[in-house]
Amino acid sequence: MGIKNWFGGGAKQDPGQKPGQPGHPKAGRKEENYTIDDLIVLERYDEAVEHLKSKIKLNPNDLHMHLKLAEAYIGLKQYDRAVDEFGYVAEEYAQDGFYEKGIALLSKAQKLAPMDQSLRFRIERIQREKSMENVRAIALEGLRQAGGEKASTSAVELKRLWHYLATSSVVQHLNGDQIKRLFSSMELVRADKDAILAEEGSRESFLLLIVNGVVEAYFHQEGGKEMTMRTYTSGDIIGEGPLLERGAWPAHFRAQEPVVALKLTREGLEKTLVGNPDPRNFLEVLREQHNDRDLAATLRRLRTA
Amino acid sequence: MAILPIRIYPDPVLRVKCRDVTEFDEKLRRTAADMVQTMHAAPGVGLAAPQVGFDFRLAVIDLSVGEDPQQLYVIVNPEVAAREGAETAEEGCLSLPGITDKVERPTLVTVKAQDLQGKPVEIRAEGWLARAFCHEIDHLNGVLFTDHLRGLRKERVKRQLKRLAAEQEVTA
Repeated sequence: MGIKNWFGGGAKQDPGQKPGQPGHPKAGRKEENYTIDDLIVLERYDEAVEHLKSKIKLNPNDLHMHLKLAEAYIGLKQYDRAVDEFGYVAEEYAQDGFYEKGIALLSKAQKLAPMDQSLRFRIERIQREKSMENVRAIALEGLRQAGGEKASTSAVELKRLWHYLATSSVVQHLNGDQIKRLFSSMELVRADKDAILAEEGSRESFLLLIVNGVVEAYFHQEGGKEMTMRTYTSGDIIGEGPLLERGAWPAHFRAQEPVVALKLTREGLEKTLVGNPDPRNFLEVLREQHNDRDLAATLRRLRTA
Repeated sequence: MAILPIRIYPDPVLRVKCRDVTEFDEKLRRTAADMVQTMHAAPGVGLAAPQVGFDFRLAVIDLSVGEDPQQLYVIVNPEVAAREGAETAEEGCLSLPGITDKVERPTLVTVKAQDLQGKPVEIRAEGWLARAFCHEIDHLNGVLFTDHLRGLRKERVKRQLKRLAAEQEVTA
């Protein structure tokens, strides 16, 4: 007999031995120290959900708890909630570079919600990100040089920054070397909610590539009332006019929520152009969104009206 | 001496964090003797008090399964004081019949405990003995060997536990 069997793994017990059978005055009492896994095994899903929710409240980033919660929701046949949990964990995995795990979870979610088209799009997006793995490594190096280390940004956070930028037009239209050249000449900046990023009419010469958060462009109407004209988010570029055309900022720009952005100054721009094998395309990619030009045109129309 | 009924998963007593033994009396010695007899009859190489329905820190271990009295350990209030190394091997449990899986445990442990008279003892154990001590001390903390599994192994064992729980419901 193998020693593993001596622990008892091999032998089935006498079925006459009932759980809860008294062997001691205290032994028969109902103790409820079951683990969450036990509750799931015992199909006490409601209790498992309750425990899991309180654990997640204490540590919202505990992905294992989110996965267990999805399992409990499946047990309760609350598939939409299970899909939400799988989706959340899948995005977290993808942001940290674990694309395959993310795709696997979304595929699992698809089986629960076969009519949900958004899951297919999310899988495709993560597949695209995965296919850019090589570019990513180079871009991360650039991001690190963008002041990531100086701003005590961890490797995980850098990967998250990349996750926000991966689908931006700048990343899509530049090759890895050009992305690295651009990012390493930029500075990673963070702005609190309501911070003013640029003022209308200012000729401060810089451009912002928004990584995360929302920036609003607004102007003061007659009478001083503010009017928001547009908002910008991950992947949007603002300030290409002041930097590339030496124009003025077309409106006031303010962080609508905490913002992380990459800032390119004139000095940085010059650095990117020294020895650049394709400066024309490089500059074209920076200006192709035409956000400032469109904003200025809208503002002109509003003011003449 | 008597053979005690072994508690099977999902008996709640298996999840109890056991209290310290404070009275080293005849009753404790009788219970220990019953546990040794139960372990040998099972047959098993280790048995912790919750596995026979008690909620105090007592465990018995005998890798020889009654063949060699020198190998019998009766430990009261044990704690793993030090651990070294790690090795993976297949384990089972009298309270989880039919379930075995690979578990990583320390290669070497130092266990501090008391004997049946309450005298402090220190045991240095290696290999299978170290594994048995860790397994039984886990029981005293309400931990089962399946709790150490992760990933696919965890998923597989969950299905096995589900079946076992269903069987217990039928026999209850």
